[in-house]
Amino acid sequence: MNPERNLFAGVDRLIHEPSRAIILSILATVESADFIYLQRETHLTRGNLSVHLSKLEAAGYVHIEKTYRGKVPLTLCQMTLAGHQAFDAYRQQLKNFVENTKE
Amino acid sequence: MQPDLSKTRLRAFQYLYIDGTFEFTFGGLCLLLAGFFYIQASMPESLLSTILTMSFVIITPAGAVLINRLVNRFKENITYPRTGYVAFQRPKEGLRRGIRAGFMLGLTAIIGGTVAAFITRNPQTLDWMPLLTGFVFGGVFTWIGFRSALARFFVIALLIWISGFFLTMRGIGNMPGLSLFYALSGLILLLSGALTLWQYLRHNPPSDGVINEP
Repeated sequence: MNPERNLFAGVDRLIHEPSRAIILSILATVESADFIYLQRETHLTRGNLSVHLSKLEAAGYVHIEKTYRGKVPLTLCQMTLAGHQAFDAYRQQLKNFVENTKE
Repeated sequence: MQPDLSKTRLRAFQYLYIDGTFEFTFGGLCLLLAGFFYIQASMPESLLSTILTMSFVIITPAGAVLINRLVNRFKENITYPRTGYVAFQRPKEGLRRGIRAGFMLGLTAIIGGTVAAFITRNPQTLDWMPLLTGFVFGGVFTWIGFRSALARFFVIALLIWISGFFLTMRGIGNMPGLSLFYALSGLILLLSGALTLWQYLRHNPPSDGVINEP
């Protein structure tokens, strides 16, 4: 494999999925957001969003806190430090790949 | 969908103003100030007027706290159940926050001191207060307009500035002018808030109450 392709091979596959990349791009810009806000911004279905959040949580990229606001359930999502680092590294990898594959 | 971070950040910032609650609470505070200046203008020698004058330095910070509480209460009951909750990032470095706060405090002191000195030398300039206040308020709303990229804040800024200019040109005096200025500003803000809230509620019906759970 040539060096340019190697750059892309090392990309974080967990983040390299459009829905999860969008979720992380939202969480990277805010302190925290709840499930409704993320669903509204990503246009994902409840099931899809839930699955992607669970995967990100399992990887330690997102911290999910289930709480209540009065009697209404509230699922609060926050990007962890590991999540921020992984997302920054992913962006850098993509940038490197684009720069190294210029025509 | 393109995960454009600057646009995502902008959308999160715009979300702060999505429901018009900011204008409602700010407009409400303006109406309170209009009442304050009306009492000052209509019964300047009364006990109520004296008490209000003495407590004016408390009114501004108390108003800021009140704005914050009212916005939070409004959002908890109207916005978050419909379109979700988002907490905004704050500057993490304590020193940078301290410098920024110190700079703002210093700037306020310089402007306040200059205005006070100007008025002391020439009390007639007190009549320009609606113009000056309109200029400051207009500046604040213009800044919000630029930060949020929401056109309605430019309209609000323009209307508030025109109000201040018009009332000063009419020469109706300091206290009555300020009273009318705050009343007009409050009405402009309440109208904008009502229109924004109406649009928001129309496009975002209430959720079933259990949606916020994956």
